[in-house]
Amino acid sequence: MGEPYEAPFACALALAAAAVALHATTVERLSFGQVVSQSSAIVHGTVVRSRMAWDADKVAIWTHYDIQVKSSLKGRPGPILTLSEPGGEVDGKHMQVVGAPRYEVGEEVVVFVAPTATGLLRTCGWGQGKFAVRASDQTPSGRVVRSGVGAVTLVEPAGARLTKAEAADALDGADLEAFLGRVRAEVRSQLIGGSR
Amino acid sequence: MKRATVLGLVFAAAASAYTRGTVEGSLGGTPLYWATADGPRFQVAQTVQADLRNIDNRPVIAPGSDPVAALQGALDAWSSASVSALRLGTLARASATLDPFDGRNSFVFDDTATIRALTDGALGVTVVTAQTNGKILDADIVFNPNLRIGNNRGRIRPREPSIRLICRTWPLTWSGARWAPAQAA
Repeated sequence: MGEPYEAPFACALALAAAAVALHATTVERLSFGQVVSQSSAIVHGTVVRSRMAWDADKVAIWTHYDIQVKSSLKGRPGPILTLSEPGGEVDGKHMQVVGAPRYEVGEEVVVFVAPTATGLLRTCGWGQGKFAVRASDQTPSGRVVRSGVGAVTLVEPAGARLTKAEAADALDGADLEAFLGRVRAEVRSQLIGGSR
Repeated sequence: MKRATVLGLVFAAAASAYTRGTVEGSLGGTPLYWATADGPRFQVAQTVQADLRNIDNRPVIAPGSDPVAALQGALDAWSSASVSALRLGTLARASATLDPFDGRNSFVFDDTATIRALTDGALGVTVVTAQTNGKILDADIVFNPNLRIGNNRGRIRPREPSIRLICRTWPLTWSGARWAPAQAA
């Protein structure tokens, strides 16, 4: 079904129920290639600091996360990359945006970030651009990546449907070293393709 | 399947989701709650109408649609649900814009850099603000003015996404029977 928002009554409500039973924020499902291409920077690193602040217009509160870069896979972010997500608490006022990715100080991550209209860097595709590194005895490196897709509902893009293997969140559970190798290969492939 | 049966299934599924989703409905462990006795009231800007365009002159709301009726339909869908204690009332027309702390619950279709940054990549978002004691100040439902999600042809038909986004203005139901104490507050 290609038009869920224009579907007949019963079908649309059934769709709404399925989405409601999961999460409320609806986001387009991105392929791994799209997450790489849409990102201005990709880094593997550790969250070393977070702080909350109003935006310039004092309309919204954002949480800014400093990530100490262990390796840069795309772009030139420098030793610290700062990414921002809406929500947080300032002056005794709390704001939350459902589905916005959250990071913990000390968390090791591979993150894909893209600039917003205000110039802040956000996680690409909401949680689709966050991969948390976790210990595992199931893979060669002893570490796996976990997709950060949390409180969002992913919907298929129109036209070309993604296969499960193509979707960025399908890499959940991949071995860290294999994942980093795949990111590097995709970045290289897109650079070569873009220069043709 | 009859419409009533479908509705029953819809809201039964929704109700089961709320009772287990406590994380988003708390503030450092403090449950969020509405202090109003009769449920939140929503408003939408006078300028919201069919074929509303963004600052790039691209359509945000589908031509020929009735967005106010669609939004009212979304509110009514919740108010008429048998599992819902809330009555969301009639949508007001006002000069609604995004101000998450103004105490007014708004459907927002504005196009600003802040809104683009908040909604980038999503159909729309629910912004909930609260005091540190958990009392909700405001819940705004903000649609992406630069919609590029392909399966609605880049335009919003607000009813169904609103049904989903409205549910996030009810943190009281996420943490169980929170509505009764909220009424007494």
